[in-house]
Amino acid sequence: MTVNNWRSMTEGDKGSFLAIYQTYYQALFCYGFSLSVDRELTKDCIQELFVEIWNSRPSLNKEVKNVRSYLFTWLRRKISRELSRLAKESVFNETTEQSDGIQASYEELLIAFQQSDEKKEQLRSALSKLTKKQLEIIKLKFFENLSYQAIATQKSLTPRTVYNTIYESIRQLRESMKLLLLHLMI
Amino acid sequence: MARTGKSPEQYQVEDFVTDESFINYFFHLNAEDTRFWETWLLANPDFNKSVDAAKDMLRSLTLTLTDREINDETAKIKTAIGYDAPFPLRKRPAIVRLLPFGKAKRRQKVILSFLLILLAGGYFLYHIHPDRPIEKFNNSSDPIVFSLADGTTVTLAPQSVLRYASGFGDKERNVFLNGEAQFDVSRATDHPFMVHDGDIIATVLGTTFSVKAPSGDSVMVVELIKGKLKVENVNSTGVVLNSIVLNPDERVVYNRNNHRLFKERWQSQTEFPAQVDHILFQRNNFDEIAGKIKAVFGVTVVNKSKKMNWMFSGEFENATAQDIIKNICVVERLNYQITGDSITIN
Repeated sequence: MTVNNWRSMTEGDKGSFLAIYQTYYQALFCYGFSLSVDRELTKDCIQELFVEIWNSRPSLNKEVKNVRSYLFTWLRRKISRELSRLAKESVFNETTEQSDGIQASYEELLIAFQQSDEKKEQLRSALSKLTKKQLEIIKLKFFENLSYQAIATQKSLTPRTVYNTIYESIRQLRESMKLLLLHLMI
Repeated sequence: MARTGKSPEQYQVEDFVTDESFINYFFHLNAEDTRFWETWLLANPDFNKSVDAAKDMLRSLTLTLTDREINDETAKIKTAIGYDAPFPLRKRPAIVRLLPFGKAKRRQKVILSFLLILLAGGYFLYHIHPDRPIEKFNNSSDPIVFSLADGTTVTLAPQSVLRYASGFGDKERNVFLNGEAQFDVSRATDHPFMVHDGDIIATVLGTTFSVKAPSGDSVMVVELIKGKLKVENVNSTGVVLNSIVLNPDERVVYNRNNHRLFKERWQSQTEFPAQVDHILFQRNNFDEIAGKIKAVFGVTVVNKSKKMNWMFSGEFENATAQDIIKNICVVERLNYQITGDSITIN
């Protein structure tokens, strides 16, 4: 489907262009954010990426087989260029050093993604109560979007155990978030 | 779907969060789960709070932007490339969703078994094509337009699915719809183009028409814009129960509950105006007035009063359908009542 969309996009079809945009936007954002840990920067880079694609469509390869990885690669280059530009600036400004090249952990990403300090604190505290194993399985389920079966195979567990672990983790998270909310209100 | 063996009516927030079908719905990963949960939520508004909490939890554990943020970004890119919606799909007529949830899944089975029977009976000599079927799901918020192998143009409404073989067989061109779409069919008399939607088949020979059948709704509409179109409803064994031929600006309304199929006129050009500059009646009886109001405003007028023998003359400026009926009722000493886009005279 997307291969056809890609081809008609290079031939100038705006509908196909938009279909590609909408199909991959969320996935690109997720990927971009885990590289940059910056919501607005990621959005801007994706926007620029698609404008560049649209403007250069006649010269693009018409037979892109894997549109997803094509877009991901393009976005990665864009973001790392942007980050090194910012890093250079911050050297001149003597601001805090850029944690460039170091991958943020899953928890760090989730906390950084929250927009209010309150929410950040709430999530930080709730996540800190989970065990390493719980966090790892939650990441596989919701971040990597694997099935219970796939996680079970990878971790040599039964799907039932994986399911129960996640269910229990969600229950704990909800519980500690509720408690924290009460605490904040008092 | 759930490993706990619970039905959604017994769900807590944790159950939603851990249900793979619900996760698919949240991430818009496949059409069937999206339709299922949308229908289920409509039927179970009491669960809105838990479902919202479940969505919040899923959002906290992923880097998922809100729909609003994504729409804002989409609007920006649309401006950047100067994009206008390709074809304004008409707003759905007011349709009451009254089927119990689970309907979406049942209907999939109906379509499937129907296909199998066609194959077994060889009734339509359905040609098995080696090509893998394509499933196109519009998970965006705008209609999408694409072409089929035979040159037919399809405009697929949001949250609708079309299934078809990548190349068509020797005989019919079969496509399977779940939702709403408009087809501009390339002419090929030897290869009738057939749209299947549950127990309805629309067969065409070079025409533009649209099919609207949100799954879970009890009414479906097939509207013809140009060309000629045959609409049939079949029972589960593929036997044709009813068949209606449409001319341009006619449409078929099918009631899934009582399997009734009927034909009516409609206006393909635009949405009906709420108000018109000028309209004139000269000694018209009820049927003539109702016909004119239907054609001009798209509003159906039903006469349930015993008083039938009247003629009405009048000229209106900047009037709505209601203004006209109100006026007539005053003159003829009748009462009227508005329900949706129809007016009943008592």
